Amino acid sequence: MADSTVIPKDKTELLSTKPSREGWWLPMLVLVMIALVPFARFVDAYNYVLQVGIALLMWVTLTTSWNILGGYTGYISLGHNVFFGIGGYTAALLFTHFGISPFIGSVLAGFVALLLGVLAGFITLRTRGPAFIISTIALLLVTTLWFDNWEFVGGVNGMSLPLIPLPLSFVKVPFYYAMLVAAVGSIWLGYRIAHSKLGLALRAIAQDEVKAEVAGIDTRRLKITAFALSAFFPGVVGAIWGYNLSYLRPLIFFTIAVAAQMVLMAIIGGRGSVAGPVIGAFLIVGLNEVSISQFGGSELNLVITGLILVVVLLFFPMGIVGSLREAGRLPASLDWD
Amino acid sequence: MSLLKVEDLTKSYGGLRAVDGASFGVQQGSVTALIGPNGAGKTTAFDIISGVVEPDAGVVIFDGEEITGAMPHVATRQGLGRTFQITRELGDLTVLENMLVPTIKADTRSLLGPKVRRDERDRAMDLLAFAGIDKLALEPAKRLSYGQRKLLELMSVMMADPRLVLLDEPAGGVNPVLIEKIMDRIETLNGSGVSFLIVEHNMEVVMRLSSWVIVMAHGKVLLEGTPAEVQQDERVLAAYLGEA
Ligand SMILES: Nc1ncnc2c1ncn2[C@@H]1O[C@H](COP(=O)(O)OP(=O)(O)O)[C@@H](O)[C@H]1O
Ligand SMILES: [Mg+2]
Repeated sequence: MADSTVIPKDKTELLSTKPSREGWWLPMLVLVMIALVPFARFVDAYNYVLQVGIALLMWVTLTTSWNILGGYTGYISLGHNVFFGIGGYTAALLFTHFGISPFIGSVLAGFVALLLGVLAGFITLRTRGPAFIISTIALLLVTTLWFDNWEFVGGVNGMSLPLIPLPLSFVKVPFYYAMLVAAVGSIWLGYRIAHSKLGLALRAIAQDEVKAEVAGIDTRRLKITAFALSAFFPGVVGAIWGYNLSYLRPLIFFTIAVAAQMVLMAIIGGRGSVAGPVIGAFLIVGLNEVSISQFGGSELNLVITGLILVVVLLFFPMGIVGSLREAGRLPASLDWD
Repeated sequence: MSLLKVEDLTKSYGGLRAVDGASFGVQQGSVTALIGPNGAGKTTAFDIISGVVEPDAGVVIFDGEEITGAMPHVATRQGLGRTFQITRELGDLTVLENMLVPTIKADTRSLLGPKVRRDERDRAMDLLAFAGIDKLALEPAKRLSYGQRKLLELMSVMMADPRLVLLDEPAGGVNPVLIEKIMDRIETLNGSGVSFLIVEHNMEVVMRLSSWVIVMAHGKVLLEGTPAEVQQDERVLAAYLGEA
């Protein structure tokens, strides 16, 4: 054991029972800047900028939520977009049939997703490892099949929603702020879990389930809890996204590419950390935008994005946050754990 | 009074009867030793008692309640702790976090509460200081040596305030100075009411700590008695020699 790894006796504040606030100004500054973007009404392509922002904040929410189960708990779900889609359809139905605004409906959609998360967790969490991944893919396939054939919501053709009654230069603003609230909410949830005994229990489960059980953890109950919590915000942002697009089709929500993107962002940024998925979402959405503007929406764009990701993973095999932490080089502003 | 009682425990792996109708008990307040040659079925018996392995037959009664085949957390929550012969530390978690895992309670308030409370941290650090690994508290547990891992496991079990602790070869791979300290600690804890069931090959440890010894061979209880009685019994020697 190298002596350099030993904590000096007088540095017991390192064992603080409270999370450090060091370096917090940077994420807060970024948050304020993001919150101010809709005021930049003078920029060209104002609505386009907001639309990219809406998608970015949506991905931050999706991957951060996925991370509760896939990162902290170690159960890789490739079907989490099920909750995203069900959230979208729930809010759309509440809107078209009961006139409930999807912004309010999004909260209900989140709770529907949460309840379905309990049910899905109850079934799929009887397996682990590769079998769990496959069972979540099965969940996605079954859900897709259901929605493709459910005429009440338009089947494969989908359903359309009334546009939000606002002048064109304002239509994106409410969606932008709704997504921002969801993103902050999901990060807050992830942060709270990471700093609670629940988070410790989930990480113990990810490491060694038998040991966690013997240490007194009801692993099955907490795994289902993690599954349900990780389904809530995807339901919320599904509702907002559906209204933002003003039409819903199974193809928008239920392709495995959506789930794969959540996984990818979390892995690139650092699975299991609080900041990792956020960074992963910024990186991949940013990369996509740059590469589309440079190379158009061609295949080349995909190749270049893929190459950059491979390079990132070569240098940061545990994701950006994970590898920087391992090397002792994680700046305090990115250490939210 | 028996704090733990097992009756007719049986567990086969393929054609092999790892535990073959074993019955024994642990008296409240005692330090009981479970000895026997390698492959006698001691660890498998621990696995069944703690709920890690489901028995083919038999019952486990802890503090008057049957817990046969229950999930391990059930036994743990009722005050039955255990360590593993081959340590199972949570390698990516820090040493301190390993100590805190047993403090997690089932109720929502505790689950959503802070990861570490001041009193828990102080208690964990005291135990780690006792084991001489407090300076490694913030290191990932995977960086510990084998002996240190054994100590960490022993100390983390204590964090849950168990009434009975099953120790699977606590002295294995630990240096003699620390073995001495561990024995002292077990005696102290026993003095404050914690009962122990200890699997151990180090006979010095067995003789000094235990008031009752159970000998297992081929999955069965061969005999039991006081340390002096067992030491003199030729069947015990025969069982150990038979292993060679
Ligand atoms: N998981 C397992 N699968 C197959 N055989 C096992 C398993 N666990 C233990 N055994 C076998 O059961 C017998 C008893 O093992 P064990 O309980 O570890 O004995 P002890 O702890 O007394 O040395 C041994 O022959 C061992 O090889
Ligand atoms: Mg053994």
